Amino acid sequence: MRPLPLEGVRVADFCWLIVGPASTRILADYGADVIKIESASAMDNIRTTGVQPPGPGSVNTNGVFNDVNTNKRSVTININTPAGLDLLKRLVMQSDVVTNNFTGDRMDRWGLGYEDLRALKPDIIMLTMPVMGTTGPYVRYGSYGNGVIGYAGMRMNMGFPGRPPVGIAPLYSDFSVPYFAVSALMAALYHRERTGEGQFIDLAQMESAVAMLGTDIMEYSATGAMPTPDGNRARDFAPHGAYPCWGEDRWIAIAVRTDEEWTALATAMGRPALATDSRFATFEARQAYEDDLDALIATWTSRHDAWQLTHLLQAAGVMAGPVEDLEDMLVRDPHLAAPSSTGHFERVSREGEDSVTFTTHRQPSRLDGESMALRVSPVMGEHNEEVIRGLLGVSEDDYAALLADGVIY
Amino acid sequence: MVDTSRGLLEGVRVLDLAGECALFAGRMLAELGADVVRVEPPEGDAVRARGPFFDGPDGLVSLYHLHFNAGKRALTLDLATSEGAVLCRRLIDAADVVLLTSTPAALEADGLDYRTLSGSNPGLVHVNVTPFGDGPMGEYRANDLVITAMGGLMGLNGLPEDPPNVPGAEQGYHMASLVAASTALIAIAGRERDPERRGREVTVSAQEAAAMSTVQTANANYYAWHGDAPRRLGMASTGSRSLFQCADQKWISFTIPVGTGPLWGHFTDWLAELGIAHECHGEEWFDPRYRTPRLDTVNAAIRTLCARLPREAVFHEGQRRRLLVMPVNDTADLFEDAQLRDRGFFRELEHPALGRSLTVPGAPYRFTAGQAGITRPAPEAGEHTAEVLEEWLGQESTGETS
Repeated sequence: MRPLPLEGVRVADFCWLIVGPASTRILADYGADVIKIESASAMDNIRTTGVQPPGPGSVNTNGVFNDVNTNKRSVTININTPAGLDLLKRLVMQSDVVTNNFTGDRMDRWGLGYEDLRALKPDIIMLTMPVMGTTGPYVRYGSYGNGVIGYAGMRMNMGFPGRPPVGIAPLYSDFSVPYFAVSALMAALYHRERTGEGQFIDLAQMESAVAMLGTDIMEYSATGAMPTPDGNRARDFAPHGAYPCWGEDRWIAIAVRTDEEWTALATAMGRPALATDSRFATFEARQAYEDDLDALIATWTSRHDAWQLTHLLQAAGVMAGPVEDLEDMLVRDPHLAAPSSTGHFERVSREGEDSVTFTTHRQPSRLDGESMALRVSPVMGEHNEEVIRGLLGVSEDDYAALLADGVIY
Repeated sequence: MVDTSRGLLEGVRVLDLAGECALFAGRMLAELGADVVRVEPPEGDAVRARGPFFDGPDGLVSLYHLHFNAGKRALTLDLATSEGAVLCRRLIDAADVVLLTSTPAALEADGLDYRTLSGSNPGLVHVNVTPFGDGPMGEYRANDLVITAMGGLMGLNGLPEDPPNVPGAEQGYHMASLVAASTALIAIAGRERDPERRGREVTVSAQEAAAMSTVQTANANYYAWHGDAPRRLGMASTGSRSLFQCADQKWISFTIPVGTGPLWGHFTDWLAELGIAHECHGEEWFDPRYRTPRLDTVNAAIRTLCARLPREAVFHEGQRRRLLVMPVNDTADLFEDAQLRDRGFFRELEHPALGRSLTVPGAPYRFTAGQAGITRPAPEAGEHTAEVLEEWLGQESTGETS
């Protein structure tokens, strides 16, 4: 089988929490050797946050941690000891990329800032991706993804009229920003392959979120208009919304752009006369009478199952789909819930002390028709010996001394 | 030495045949310096009919086009004619990346499938984005609304008593484009390291890209382990993360970090300094496991604090105390934001056809070895037909190209 595209690329990964590890997970899934760096005194504290399996659980069974660290290796090295720092510098010398999402100058204070790294390995690529970037008056300000979204305008550009702002689901930027991070790293890697030159990349999470506002920035610049919360309606569609279905909190999304699609929907509803009804016959009319239109459609959909309606409407040429919840995604959706080789989810297991059976996502892109294979996230320090002895060439005696001295722990 | 003064991807040729769902992918590659050429039919790109418009609600100049095609060049080809199809094929043979958004069956019918195209261009990175990939719903159609609904994103947004709410600014399309652009670049960087310089076939399901963005908010293991499917919670989202209204009526996002460190004390100290009475006294409140079932009590104290001060004060004083406090900005706030201004994020881009400049978002990254950002406005229809044919194919322009 053909090697994965990033095989042979090594990443010394200082990322923590979600957005950083989710970025380096993409590199790992596509073949990079991502070595996650922690220690018992400086643990990635996402290990103690979020969903845990039934039972006692541990820092190695956490649902959030396991989702964003597949296919990586883990070392635990105490960076606050001279010997630990020396080991990490030796790891940098054998790496192509160094990543972190710390706020402030923590890497510099460790003596692992870009200039330090460049002295160790001249063509190193370093990515630092804090919330605010590495410059500017708010450079030391921190946030989780929920605050990044609001800062970037992703709460005020949506909602129902007259309702308080809510905005997009809480951690959206933690899973969109990683694709910006990977794009920047790949552009830098491509550049290094062509020129031999490494570099420093400053990525601001909140700028990445602002970059996803579509036309909002240009429209304000051109006309002074800001997006008005308009529920689920859209400029170029009518109808366009979520309509109630049979069951509790069940909904179907339906979007109609053309007259042909509207005729198909009216026919599927068993009301073909609506297609030529003067209130709805043209796009302009449908928008003018959208409240009436929505009420008619809701009356019809509320008597039906969301999935059955989806298949019926799609067969008729109408864009429609259930508003899926987690049970839909894991059980009912014919694609997402398909067996792991073709579907979106895969169950991975770890045996032994920190045993866990874990459901995680595959990358949403396929290469040459293949889905990327997943190896369960590492337990803390799982690869200490193979990295420190195997890769860094530390002798058996020295390794034992590093363990005894608490440098590896 | 490769000249990267115009971007790290200088010299990478991208032929953009994509529909709406992957327009942003081409824009991202252009921002990184690639030569992105958008192919338009003789009647013009359908994207040019999408609002909002520069010249009013019923205008003719599409800001949708100006934004999503910024940084690209444009070439007009009639793919329905054999001459147009042949030229398109020759352009793909000269390209590093082709961006497509058709079902596998349609690609094969048009001779644009990977097997056919890689036959004459083995280095090609062939990127195809569809709503549902090549799975059992591969022929189903979807716009951004249906993608975000079926990706699980929409069901998490909104107040519990309202219907699910589609995210603003087409996030389903943005996620699909982000995945497409980043995977294309993984393939491009990988090709550079491959002695045989072989390309790749990249297929992206927009539904899966949207589903990806719900991870953690809807961690699959809530259901697998506990039989629980998270629902939209409005502002009462998981943990101490809520929105509050400040004294000046502006909204703020106020998060007390998880973890059992001293940060909780930073919050109660602040309450004490402001003389705000609250019910969160005692060591037990330092433990987030104690706080979580008592969030109403915590939120009542935060609400009082925010109502006392204007937003700017809550923001800066909260951050000074290392609490995760962030303003909930609107577009106008973003234009005034000191951080974005200091970093020069927004750029003024001249649009000669409009006789003025427009503000555009910059690239969200800075490189020490190259520029990033949009440097040319979205093209006029067919603006670069002759120069692209000459540069990519070495073909002398013969005027109008069919």
